[in-house]
Amino acid sequence: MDFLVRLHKIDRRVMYVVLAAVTTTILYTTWLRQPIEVTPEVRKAYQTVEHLPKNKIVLVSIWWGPGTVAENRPQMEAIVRHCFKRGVPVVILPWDQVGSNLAYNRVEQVAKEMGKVYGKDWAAFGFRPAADQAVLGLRSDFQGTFKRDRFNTPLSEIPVMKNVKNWQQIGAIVETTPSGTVGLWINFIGQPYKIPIIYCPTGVMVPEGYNFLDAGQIKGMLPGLIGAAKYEYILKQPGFATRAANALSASHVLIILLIILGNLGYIAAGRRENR
Amino acid sequence: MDSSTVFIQIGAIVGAICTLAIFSVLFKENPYYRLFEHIFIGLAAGYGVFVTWRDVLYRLWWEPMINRGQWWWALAIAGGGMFYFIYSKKHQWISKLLFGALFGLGAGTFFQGFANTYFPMISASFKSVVPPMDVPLTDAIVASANDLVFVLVLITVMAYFFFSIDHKAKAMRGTASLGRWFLMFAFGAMFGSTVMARMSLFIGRVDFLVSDVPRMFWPYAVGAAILIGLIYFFFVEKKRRLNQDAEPKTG
Amino acid sequence: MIGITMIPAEVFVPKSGTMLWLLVAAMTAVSILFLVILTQVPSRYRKPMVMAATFICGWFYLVEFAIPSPRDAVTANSYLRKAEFNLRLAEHSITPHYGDPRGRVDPKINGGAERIKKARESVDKAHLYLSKAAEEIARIRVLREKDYIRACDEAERFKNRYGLTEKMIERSADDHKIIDLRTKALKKRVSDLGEALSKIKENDEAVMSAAAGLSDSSASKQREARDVLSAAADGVALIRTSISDNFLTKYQPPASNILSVIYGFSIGLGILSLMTIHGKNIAKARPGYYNSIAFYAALIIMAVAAFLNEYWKSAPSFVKPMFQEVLFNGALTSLQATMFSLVAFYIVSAAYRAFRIKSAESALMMAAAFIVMLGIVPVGVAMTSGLHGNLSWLRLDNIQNWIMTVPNMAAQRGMAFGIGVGGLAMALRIWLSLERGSYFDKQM
Repeated sequence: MDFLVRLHKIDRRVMYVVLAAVTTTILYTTWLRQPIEVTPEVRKAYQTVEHLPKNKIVLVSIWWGPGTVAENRPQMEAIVRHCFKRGVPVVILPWDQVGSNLAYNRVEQVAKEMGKVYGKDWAAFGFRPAADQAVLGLRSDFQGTFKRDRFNTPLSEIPVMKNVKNWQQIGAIVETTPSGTVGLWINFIGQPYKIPIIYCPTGVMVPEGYNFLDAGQIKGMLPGLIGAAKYEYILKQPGFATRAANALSASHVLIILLIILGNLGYIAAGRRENR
Repeated sequence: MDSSTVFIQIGAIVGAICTLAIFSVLFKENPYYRLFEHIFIGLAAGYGVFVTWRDVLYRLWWEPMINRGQWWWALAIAGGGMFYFIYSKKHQWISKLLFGALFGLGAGTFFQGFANTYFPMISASFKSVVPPMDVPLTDAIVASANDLVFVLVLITVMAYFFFSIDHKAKAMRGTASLGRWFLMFAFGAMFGSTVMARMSLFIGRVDFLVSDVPRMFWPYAVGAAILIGLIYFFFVEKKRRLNQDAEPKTG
Repeated sequence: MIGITMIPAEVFVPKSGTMLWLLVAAMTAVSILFLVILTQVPSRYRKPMVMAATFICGWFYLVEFAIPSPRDAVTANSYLRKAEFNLRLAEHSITPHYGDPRGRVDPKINGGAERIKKARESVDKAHLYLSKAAEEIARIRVLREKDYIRACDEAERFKNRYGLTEKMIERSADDHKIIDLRTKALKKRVSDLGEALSKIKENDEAVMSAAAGLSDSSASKQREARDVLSAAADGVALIRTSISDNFLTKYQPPASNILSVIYGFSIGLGILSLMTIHGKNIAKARPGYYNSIAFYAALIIMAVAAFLNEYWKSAPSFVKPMFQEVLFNGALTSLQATMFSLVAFYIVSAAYRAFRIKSAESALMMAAAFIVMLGIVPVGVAMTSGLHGNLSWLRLDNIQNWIMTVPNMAAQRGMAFGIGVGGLAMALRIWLSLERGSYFDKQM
């Protein structure tokens, strides 16, 4: 009984050390890798990218920064790889100051790996505030709203952008975000112009995403890091997300165990007090 | 080893030091965490200034004004300057004039967005609870049951949230109470997803510390951590305890 | 008539650098004068001015959204709307219910034949409306072409009157050649109508080919027909949108640029506040003031390094990697990522200490949380991977998927409706300045 009562008084630092040790060990233990099951929303996202026309751009909207880089960057990378594989032009549109640089660096790395050329196969813009008004502007006059790219080159001199005039040249929107910003694209581009949106939220926003999915406002979703792992699985290009999936499993099991232990200890302490 | 590789390794080591300094707060609140926290704020502010100038002010304001002869952009100083009246007690209302205008613009876009967000959701909420005739029986029952659950959960949850209708009536009370039960599914799902999100961020940091940081860093890091810990406990904590003992005891 | 007549600003493009700087200085002086005038406004006018600014600015996007399509396209729009409705009706009629594994509407099963007949009727109606819309758009296109030719002649006379040189025309606002806003708008209108006409013809051909496929009751043909009808309905909706731009739409891009610049000026607010707080800490030597010194050092080093990296063309080779690898990737990214990852630990200790099953509701919430946490990760898939066939619905990943897509989704939608209605009420209150708060309660 004493042991059970002590269960709900474990020092938090012991828990932190256990969490760190378990996560680190499982992350680098390849023989414990479990299979990944692809869920319908990830498959729909894949199918959407698979059927995109090659003469229209895919806008990858970047709202994330270093805080959620571990979740959003693998999502962005998986979809950008797929687009590059299919030959669909990609345009990076950042709304976060630090995220702008992080996203550009990673896409540049992926582009080099896959032999894609900046300006011909992809382009990137610099940070832009006032997202609502920028999206409202770009849908009717893209070049008037975003006159120059990240390197201050006029859009008319960038092959991939020079024919992009308005919403009619946008094939899809990929929204990678740690907050509820997908409504911006749904409101002003997805719903009025029927442009497919693929939603890549962090785990916190995933439950809300199913609402949009059911209403047909988004065409697919990559739910957090595990969504990125599933997409990598379909693409057959495992990356960080695939490696992290098992560490994620271990951490979830640990939290469930701790909750159960805490409750057992609490019940035991309550019984002892009643005696 | 070329210079860029050297700087990549230095960057990784700096990153590891920063990461460990922030993680040290998990053990105990300490001055190293506070120091690096302030350094973070400074770095973020400095980078924010640069990015705002390069991507916004230079590109959209200064360059058109000076290089392309669009002198009328100088009038933007009036708009931007209004922000800074927030520091004046007497003329603070001028900043409110600008904020009011920006809020008005935001409200205008909200109306536009409201229709496009919620009308499709409303139409998608009308699901048929009657089993369809032209599918196998098992599929029909499952589909119909799912739609029934959906409609039940939606109505009861909406009943719970519509505070404008009094919950005193028995029917309303029962419906709202059922809605609260169904909300537990959503809250459980939100908790599970939040745990996944936060764990993912931590796993990202672990991956950085193990994969990106040079292996040779760790022996020095452990040695330095022990040294720093000793300094902290023997000097800082000792000083704090001495100060505590020196305080006059009351009572 | 679409478009407006105004004197192009290119008339005033300065011919020399000195003139430009004088004009910039003059406009800066005007801006400062405007701000000084604002400081002299009597207090009884301040609140009405704030309310008026809020109200007027709200109209811009509201009107742009609410304003009906140009009068010349009203009839065409109504035909296109009816065509779209019928196409969606036809698509819905031949969509099997609930993902029928056979993937088709079977004419031999109860109700199947009726549905296929309904789809054929809707397709015929859609074809009729598309033909009428095409005739109407062709008619208004001819009229707009005549307007465009007239406007070009006027623009030529205008150029001669103001003595506009080619260089003046070249140095225009948006890297495009602008002669006259009205001419450009009319040219775009004619082009939009022409494009709409060709798209209507394309969609109509596709719809007629889909109609032929309706008589074939095989799953693949029906699927093909459904895809064509859905794409045609979307295409028709887009045609409506493409000819429905109103006179405010073209002001959205410049409005976006102006607002971005104004938001850009606000960076100083945050920086000034931080510098004031930390400056006071240092000046008064408060406990921990060395942290404020570290803040200043980090701010200056990062800003200087970033600017040098960007603008110092002949920088030594270590500047770029020093900024990118050490300051940006090493320090800033690591610090921010670690701050956020601390929450993982707090969640662990919070879940351990606070997540207590004290009632049936909390037990239900915990059960749902456990299933979601296990079902979403590979270990949950592995735990129940042995369940197949009739027991496959008991698999953790299937239960997790059901929880997310049925009860959770319904609850999220209920909450979304509540939030949406609340948000609409709040937006209305802000727009009409009915919101009580620090803006309107205190004397300004």
